[in-house]
Amino acid sequence: MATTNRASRLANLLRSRAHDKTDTATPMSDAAAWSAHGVATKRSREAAEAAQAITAHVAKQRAAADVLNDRVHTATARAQELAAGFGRVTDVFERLGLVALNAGLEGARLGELAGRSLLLVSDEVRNHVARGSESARELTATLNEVASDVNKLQAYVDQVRQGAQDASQEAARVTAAATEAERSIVELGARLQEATGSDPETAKLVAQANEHARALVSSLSALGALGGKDPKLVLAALRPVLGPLSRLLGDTSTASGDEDAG
Amino acid sequence: MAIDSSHGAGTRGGLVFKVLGRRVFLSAEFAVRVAPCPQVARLPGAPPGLLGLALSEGVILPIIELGVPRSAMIVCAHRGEEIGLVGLEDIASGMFLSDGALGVIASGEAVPPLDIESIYTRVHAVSWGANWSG
Repeated sequence: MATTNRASRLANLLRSRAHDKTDTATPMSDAAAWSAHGVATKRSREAAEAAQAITAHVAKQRAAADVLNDRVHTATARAQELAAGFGRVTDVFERLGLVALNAGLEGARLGELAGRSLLLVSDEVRNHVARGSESARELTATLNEVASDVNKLQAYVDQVRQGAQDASQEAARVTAAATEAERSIVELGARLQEATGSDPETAKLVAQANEHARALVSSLSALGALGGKDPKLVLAALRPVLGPLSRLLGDTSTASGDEDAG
Repeated sequence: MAIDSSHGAGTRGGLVFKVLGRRVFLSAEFAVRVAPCPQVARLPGAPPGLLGLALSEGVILPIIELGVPRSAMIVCAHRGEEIGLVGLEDIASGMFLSDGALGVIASGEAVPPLDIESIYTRVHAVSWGANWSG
C-alpha cells in the first residue's frame, strides 16, 4: 500500500512539475524557439546563397547582353558602310548614265550612219544603267529595312541590359538583406541563449526528457489507479527508474524517503 | 560640233527631256554635253531664272534654272557662249524622227524644240541694276 501511495505521490509531483514546466513553457518553448531559430538560420543562409547565385546568373546574362550589344553595333556600322557603298554605286550609275547620254549626243552629232555604233552603245549602256540603278534602289530599300530591324534590335538589347542592371542591383540588395538577416538571427540566438540559459542541444534534450516525463507520469497515474493489485511487483519493476529519478528530483526524493521511513 | 549633214532628212539628233512636266527637244547643234549638276554660286540681285555661276570642266558658266534642279545639267552653246540648264528630267539622247520645222517625235509623241533664244533673251532683258535697287 505504501508503495502504491509512493508511486501515486511521485506521479502527482511529476505531473505538477510537468504542469509547471508547461505553464512557464520553458522546456518546450525553448526547444521550439531554438528549432525556429535553426530553421531561420538555415533559410536565411539558403536565401543568401540563392541571391548570390542570382547575382552570378544576372552577371552572365549582362555579359551576354553586352556581347550582343557589341554585335549589334558592329552590324549597324556594317549597314552604314553598305549604305555608303550603295550610295557610291548609285552615283556611279548616274555618272555612267551621263556618259551614255553624251555618247548618244556624240552619235547624234555624227549622224545616223557614222554615229550608229556610238548610238547603239549608248542605248545598251543606258539600258544597263537603268537596270543597275533599279537594283541598287531595291538593295538600298532592303538595306534600310535591315537597318531599321537592327535599330529595333538595339532598342531591345538596351532594354535587356537595363533589366539585367536593375536585376543585378536588386539581387545585391537581396544578398545584403539576407546577410543582415543571418547576422540578426545569430544575434537572436545569442540573446536566446542568454535569456534561457540553454543552447539548442540542451533545449532539445530537455524537451525530449519532458516528453519522457509526461509518459512516465501517465504510466504512474495508471499504476496509482490499480490500487493494491500486487504493488510489490509494480514497485520492483519501477525501482530501477524511480531511484535515480527520485535522486534527480532532490527534495522530492527526501520527502518520499520520509514517507517511506514513516 | 557640227552636225553631220549626211544623216537622213527624216531624223534629228539631240536631246529630249522634260521641263516642268513638258517634253522638249534640244538639237545637237546647241547641246554641247550632259554633265553632273555643279555647285552653283548664287548671284545677289540676279535676274529671275539665272540661278548663278558654276565651274564646269574649267569653264565658268551662267546657270539657268528651268525647273527644280536635279542631278544633271545640260550645257548648250548659244551665240558663241556656253550656258548651263538645270531642272531637267528624263533626259534622252540620240536620233529622233523629225516633226515639223524643228521638232521631233519621241515615243510616238510630238516634241517641240526648246526655245533657247527666248530663254537667253529673257535672262539678258532684265536689268541687274533694277534687281539691285530692289
